[in-house]
Amino acid sequence: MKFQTKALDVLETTSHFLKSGAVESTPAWYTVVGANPPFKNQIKVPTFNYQKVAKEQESFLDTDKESKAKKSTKRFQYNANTGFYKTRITKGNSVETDVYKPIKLKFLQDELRNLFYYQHPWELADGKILVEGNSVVDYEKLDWSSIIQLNKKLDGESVVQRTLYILKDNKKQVKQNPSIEKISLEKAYNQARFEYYQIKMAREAEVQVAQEEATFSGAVFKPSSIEVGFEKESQVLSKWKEDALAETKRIEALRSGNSAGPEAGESEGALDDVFDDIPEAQEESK
Amino acid sequence: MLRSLQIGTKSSRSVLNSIASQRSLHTVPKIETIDELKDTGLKGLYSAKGLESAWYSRAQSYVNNLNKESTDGVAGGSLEDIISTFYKEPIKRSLYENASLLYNTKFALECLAPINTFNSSEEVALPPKATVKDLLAGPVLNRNSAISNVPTNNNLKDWLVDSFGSIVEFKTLLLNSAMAIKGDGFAWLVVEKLVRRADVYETMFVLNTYNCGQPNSNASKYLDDLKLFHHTKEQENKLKDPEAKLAYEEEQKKKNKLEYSFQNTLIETVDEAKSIHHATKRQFVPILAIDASPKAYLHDYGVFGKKQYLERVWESIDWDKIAARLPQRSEKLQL
Repeated sequence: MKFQTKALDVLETTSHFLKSGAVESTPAWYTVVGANPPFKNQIKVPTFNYQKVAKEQESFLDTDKESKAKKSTKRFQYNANTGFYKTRITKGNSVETDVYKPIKLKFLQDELRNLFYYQHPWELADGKILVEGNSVVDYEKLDWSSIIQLNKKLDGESVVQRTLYILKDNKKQVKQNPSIEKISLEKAYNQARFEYYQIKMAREAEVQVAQEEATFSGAVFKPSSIEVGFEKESQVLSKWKEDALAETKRIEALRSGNSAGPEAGESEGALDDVFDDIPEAQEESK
Repeated sequence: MLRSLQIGTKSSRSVLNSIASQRSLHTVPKIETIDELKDTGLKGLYSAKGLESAWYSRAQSYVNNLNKESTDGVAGGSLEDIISTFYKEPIKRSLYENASLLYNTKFALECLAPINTFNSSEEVALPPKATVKDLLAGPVLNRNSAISNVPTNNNLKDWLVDSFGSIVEFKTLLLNSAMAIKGDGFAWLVVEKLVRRADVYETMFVLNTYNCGQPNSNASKYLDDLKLFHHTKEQENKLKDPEAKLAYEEEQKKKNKLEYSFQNTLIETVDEAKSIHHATKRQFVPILAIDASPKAYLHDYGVFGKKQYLERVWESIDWDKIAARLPQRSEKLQL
């Protein structure tokens, strides 16, 4: 099927209708779409990955033959004997299509975040607000000289940003005073992590003590939402178990083929049970 | 409720009489180690003025209140006597409160000594008063250097390590619990005393008391008793009416039927844990107390200076005195 682009011409069509009088009043979206017209060219134009090629070309700058040979790629094959590069496209080194693939984005933040949540999987259970609005905080713009932030909840992200700050700050300090020890990524991460632990411990104590202090002053706390939920769930489960047992009994009875009615002895007993429940019948029997 | 009050007064009447006979006016208790430093202040922790407001003026007001309350010749004797006698007396509550506060504050100050671990005089000087910004300051980590002023007594050290894992963990727990107290209160290190054939001292705990609470007679006991009283009365009322009794029993049956009930799980609620705690015969022997009330640090450290104050208190703890208070440690029963 041909690529359909008719829907994208909605603005032009409506203008035409308006002019001819087929549509009387301008629709509400008219000016908005006019200001932000839809993108019509749906064909993706591959962009050349200059970064990748430039990185491969780094070997040109090396003076050492060995390192040149080491860095030689499929596209730029270095011949150590002749000292020449083979850049002509032959069957062996045809132009790779990945030159036109988008660059894979790699960030140190992602690696740190993955590491932290791999080491502390339960931190993922900590609630997080995902609503976006005007108050969205750009974490990188905050001052991470302290891991505690006024408008940012303490979580794994804090550790990531704090680690980056420690590295950056250390780099700055070393530049000013070379005698200062350089901090490795691991050390910076560990420092941020231990700061995180310290505050977590303090806050845990704070929550417990606040509750205790309030209780000692006469506060009574209602059952928590978890307890209420547990109780509700257990009621449903118990009911389900009762029903399931009854249903199983019924199915088993059907399967055993015992579809005949109750035997004579049984029916009498069953009737007695029924009579017990009726007050009038009890009086008569007396 | 009235009934319970009458019972309380009857049981303590004999004690009251004995105390009344030896009536004497209270004075500010003497703490030898602190009284020497009244003019200079406690080195590294309190200035002279800070010590005055943290102890002398405070103690004086507690003593004045005590004397005011005991005009009828009721409360003489030691602070411990007053505390144990009036602990459950709502009418003489202020007697208990003042005696308890005085006792706790004194106990906390007795644990302290001038700081010796600091080398230079700059370190000994009180830190500059913290500001609002310090609330957002992150923790200072010095993992390479060990914490200073750790107990030297081997018995105490081992006991602490056995109970809390390590001295660092103990310090973190103690200071965090003291830091978390919002109003008046004390953070204590206590040894649990189990009353069996012989008294057993096995484990140490960190414990908080609030306002005028005592490690063994917390302010909550009164509330707990009140709760228990109401609870039993409710039960009695329920069982009086035959219809209500039937309904109650059915409810209980239903409750027991719920296999997945929260109550049937092994998890204890706080109330259950508390009732178990009250049922077991155990007491706490206080070893160390930290005064976490704002009155103790406001003068020298300011409104936001509690953290710095607590760090200084840790440096000032006189571990020899603490070790001297330890009871004989019982050997752990090997099963």
